[in-house]
Amino acid sequence: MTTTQRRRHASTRAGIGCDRCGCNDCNASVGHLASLRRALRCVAAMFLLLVAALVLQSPAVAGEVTYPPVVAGYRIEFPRDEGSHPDFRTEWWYVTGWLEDESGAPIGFQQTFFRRRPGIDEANPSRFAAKQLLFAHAAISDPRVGRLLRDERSAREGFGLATAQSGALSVSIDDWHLRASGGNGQHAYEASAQGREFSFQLNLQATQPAVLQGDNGYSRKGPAESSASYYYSVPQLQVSGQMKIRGREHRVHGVAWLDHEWSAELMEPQSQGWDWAGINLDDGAALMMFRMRGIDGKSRWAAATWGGAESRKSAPAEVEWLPLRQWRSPRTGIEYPVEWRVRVGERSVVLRPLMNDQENDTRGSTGTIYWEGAVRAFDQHDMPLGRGYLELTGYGERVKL
Amino acid sequence: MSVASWFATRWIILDAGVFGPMRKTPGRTLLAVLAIALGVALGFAIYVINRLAADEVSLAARSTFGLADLAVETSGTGFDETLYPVIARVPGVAAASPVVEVEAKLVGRRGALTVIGMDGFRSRLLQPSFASLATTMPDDATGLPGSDVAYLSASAARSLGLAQGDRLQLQNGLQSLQFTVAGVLPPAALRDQAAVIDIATAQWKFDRLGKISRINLRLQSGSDLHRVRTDLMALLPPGVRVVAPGEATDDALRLSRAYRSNLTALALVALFTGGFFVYSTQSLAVLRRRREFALLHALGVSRGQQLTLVLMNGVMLGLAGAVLGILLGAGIAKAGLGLLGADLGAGFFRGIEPQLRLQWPEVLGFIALGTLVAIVGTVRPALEAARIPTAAALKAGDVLSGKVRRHGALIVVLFAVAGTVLLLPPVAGLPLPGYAAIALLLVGAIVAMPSLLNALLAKAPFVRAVPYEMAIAHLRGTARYATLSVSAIVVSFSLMVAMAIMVTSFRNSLDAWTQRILPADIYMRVGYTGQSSHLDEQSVAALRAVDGVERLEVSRFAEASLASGGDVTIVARDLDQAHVERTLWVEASSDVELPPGTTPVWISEAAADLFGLRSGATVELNIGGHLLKAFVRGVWRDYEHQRGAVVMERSAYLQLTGDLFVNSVWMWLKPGATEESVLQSIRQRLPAGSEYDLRTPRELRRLSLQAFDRTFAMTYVLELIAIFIGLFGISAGTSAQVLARRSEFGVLRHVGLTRVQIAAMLAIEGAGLGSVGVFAGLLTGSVVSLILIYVVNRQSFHWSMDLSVPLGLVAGLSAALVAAAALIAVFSGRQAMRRDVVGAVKEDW
Repeated sequence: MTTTQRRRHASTRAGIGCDRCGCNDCNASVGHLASLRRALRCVAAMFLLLVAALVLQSPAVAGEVTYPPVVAGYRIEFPRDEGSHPDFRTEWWYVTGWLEDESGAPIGFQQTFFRRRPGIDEANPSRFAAKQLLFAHAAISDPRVGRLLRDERSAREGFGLATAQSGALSVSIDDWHLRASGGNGQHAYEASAQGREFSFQLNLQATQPAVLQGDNGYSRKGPAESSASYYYSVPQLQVSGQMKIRGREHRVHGVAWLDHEWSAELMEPQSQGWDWAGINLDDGAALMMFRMRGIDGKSRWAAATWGGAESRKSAPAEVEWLPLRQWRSPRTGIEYPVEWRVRVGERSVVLRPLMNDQENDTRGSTGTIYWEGAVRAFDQHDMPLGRGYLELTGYGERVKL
Repeated sequence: MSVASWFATRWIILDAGVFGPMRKTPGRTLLAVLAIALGVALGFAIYVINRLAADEVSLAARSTFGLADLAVETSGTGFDETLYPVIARVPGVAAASPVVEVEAKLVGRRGALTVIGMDGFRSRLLQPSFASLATTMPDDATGLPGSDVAYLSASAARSLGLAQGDRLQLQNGLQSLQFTVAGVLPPAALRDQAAVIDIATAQWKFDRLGKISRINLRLQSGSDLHRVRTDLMALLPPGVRVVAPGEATDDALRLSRAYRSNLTALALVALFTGGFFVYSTQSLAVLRRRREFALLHALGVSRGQQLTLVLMNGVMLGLAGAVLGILLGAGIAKAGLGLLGADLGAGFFRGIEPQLRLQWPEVLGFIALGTLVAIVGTVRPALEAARIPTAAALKAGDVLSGKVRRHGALIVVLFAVAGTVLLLPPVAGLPLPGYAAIALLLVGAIVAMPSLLNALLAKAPFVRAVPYEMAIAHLRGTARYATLSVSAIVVSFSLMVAMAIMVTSFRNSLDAWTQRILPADIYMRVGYTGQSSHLDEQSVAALRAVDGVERLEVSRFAEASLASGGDVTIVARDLDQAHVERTLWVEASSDVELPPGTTPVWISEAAADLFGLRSGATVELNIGGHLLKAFVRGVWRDYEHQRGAVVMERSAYLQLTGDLFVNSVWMWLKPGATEESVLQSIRQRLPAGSEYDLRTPRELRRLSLQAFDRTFAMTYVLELIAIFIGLFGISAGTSAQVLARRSEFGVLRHVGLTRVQIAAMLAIEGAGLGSVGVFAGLLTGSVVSLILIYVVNRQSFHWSMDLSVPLGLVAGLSAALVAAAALIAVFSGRQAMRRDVVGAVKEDW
């Protein structure tokens, strides 16, 4: 309570004023007739309220927002589509990568910005109305620490404090941001986050054009046609910058991957979660593979893209995820398959984590617990293929988007 | 000498000097213990309740701040929301949580509820206990944003009787808003009676778009609080300020401090009276035990030891009384908290329900205080005991010296100092000099008692009746002895008289004021400063159109701050500038021509006192971000706005702010229109289900006096207890004397006086003493009442009142006291004469 209001309380109540009387006692003391009248008025008012409620119910239902559908044939254009698509329900920008510090020790990092249009309060003229919500996660996988260092931010968009710009990539919550920073033909990004145990300012230089996932960026996520997203990736980003881990400054460099995906209905009701991996291959190409898991644990849908801009797409039946090793989180007790063999057509890839404990608890913002960590990829002869990130969701509770 | 025998000797002396006498007169000992106990109990109870209330207010203020280090806030409807990102980006600010606060009128209930609109995403950084407010991706409808759900503080849920899933109805303007109670916060999260809703909902539903009331700030660890504060202040527009949590607490407590300190002073008066009681009983005991003391001295007990013995007596009484008083006080505090609340019925604190928890320092402190008072009361009698001449006192029939020392110089000095102290300004906003003057005056009155008694007895009318003549002669002979027993009653009665006069003056002034400021026939009130309910233009037009209403005047309450610091309530009302005295009780005004560029205003006495303004001054006001150069045209008497109010013309207010809302309406009826029918049609014209206060001046007057009496109920109780202790004094003094005079009664019986005559003599003595006490009490009390009215009250509450004396009440009380004194004397006498009085003659000879 503000001090002024405290004062007000005191003055309203303390003054021996004549007008501090409540309203009830005066009405109560008028007698039988009045109370009967009051009762009748009460009934009338109740009836009116009921009618009003019924009338108001319909616009409330009609007032629910309709999100634009994700349809095949949409032409993704840059830099326009790097920016926010505020009409859609869900959108994210997702940077993952492998870095090395001065000593050559490997460090995994990821930063994600989520945008969400909850479809509530759209009629509220207040600038605080929660029409767009923004969330951000960042995490560091440093084997010397042995577990994920993580932090998060969340805010409603507005006042320039939390932004998701349309037309060009620029998302931020307070002092966290991810934005396109290129100019004169250069395409680059800046990622910055300040957490309790770490902080980083990274420059990500694009080395190749974006890979449109799925059918020219229309990425199916399930048997139903409506279950899809617009999705592209920018692999093989050259990273350089500063990273502070538990008070120690590091100069870092490495390779990263940017994903950008927006949709109305990514998860089907029958889906439990997904497994996803994005690997920067040592030969300069990129490998993206995912599958949606049903509540029964079986694959409902899968896809993979192997190659650069001219990549080879694999159909759902060609992508098979086989778990090789389980790891149980000592904190949550959730068991994650942290090592995989993934068959993509006639080839297969083995994924092995940089370290086991890369569980990310984001119940403070997006409300999920999942495993997301740096992995190395090997070919069928166990020869190193590349490095990237693996995401395992829905192993605890079903993922709610 | 072995240790054991050393102790044995001490014990014998102690037993003879301290415990023996106490055992011998168990009634008097008990009364003395009780007198101290009552004083300690009252003081302790009030202290503890105040302390608990203060703790609770601090906690409440602290809980709304959460983990914030600083807050940016303003009065009234708030400041521009565009300030929020600016503040949030100030270097050193780690988290900024904007808050919209509304005093929302409760529908169907008395009073308002604080509605706190928060951005859950921001507030959880500062108020982790609010993290439950669904700030994760709001898929389920329980999230705060965008929905009409509210979380209630534990105290609000309790006092409103609402639980999760219930409906909460609040009023904005005359419109009713519905909220669903999504949950109840843990008690520690928010102490105030409040509902937490989404900030956007608060802005939208309570007409606060674009405004926020406060921004709670958490600083980065290691940042310089002072520097951040300076940086912030440089950014803020006038009227917006930076506060730290502690300052808010101080503010909340400051307002009730005057009331609380006055209560404490009254409680200490009870202890003071208790001290006098100890003084009188001990003095009487010393007089009675002259021979014992002489004997002890003759047996080898030194003067110093004698002094110690009597002082020990005081310590014993004090300790016993204090311990008993602590127990009693804890009980009173518990009962008081339960029955009257933390503010003892005055209505200062809302939603505060402290639990009784005692702390050792305060317990020990009050035990020490009680003991100290008893010791101070014993010092003079102890000195006297040590001075008793051994040989003379050992002789049979050593007559008590009735000689009166005049102390003329001391009395003059005491009164002079009292008068001088009165001229001093209040200390830290408290009328301490006033209380000091009252204490000095009372001590002076006690010191002057023997002289006064002698003077009065010299003037006593001559009546030819044996008992009367004997009574007067006896009083004359034992003036010093006699006045001791009335000192306690003088103190308590004078305070009672003073309080009676003060309360009556206040009550009559309030009554007169109420009638003066309510000249209309019907009076309507919707909301108060900063409250969400109000009347809009259409509603006022509807009232104007009501059949039977001849004309109406309206007013609006708003909050403003002075450029020089401090908050006031703005009362913007229709005003006939040439005849302001028709609507305001003007105490002073200035006829100076209006300085160019200023707007005339009339300030309340509180505003004048608090901000050092007087008529003719100019003052700069910030009314919701609009600056006004005001000229103080006059000062008016106001019992309503304790923190100070400024009345201005509504047209000027409209021009400045454009705020068309209205809080009060005065309605004058056409000749022939009946109140009942007009009230009826007003109710019909206003939206059903809306809450407003519609009353006739008659009702308002009754209600305001009721509120007054409720507030002063506690003071009446305290006074009665002080009087009770005073009566102890009379009864103990009289019974002691009467017992000592058994042989005298025997002689009187021998010389032929009847029992009835002796009883009459005692009654006259008692009545005489009582009258002297009452007379002194009346005199002192009247002076004290003037100090209370013109100094203490003015300094603590900033309102003046007109003196009016409740003659009937004072006369009745005086008569009752005199009668009680006479009755006590007769009663004691009858007890004394029950045994063989005639035989008692032999006792002393």
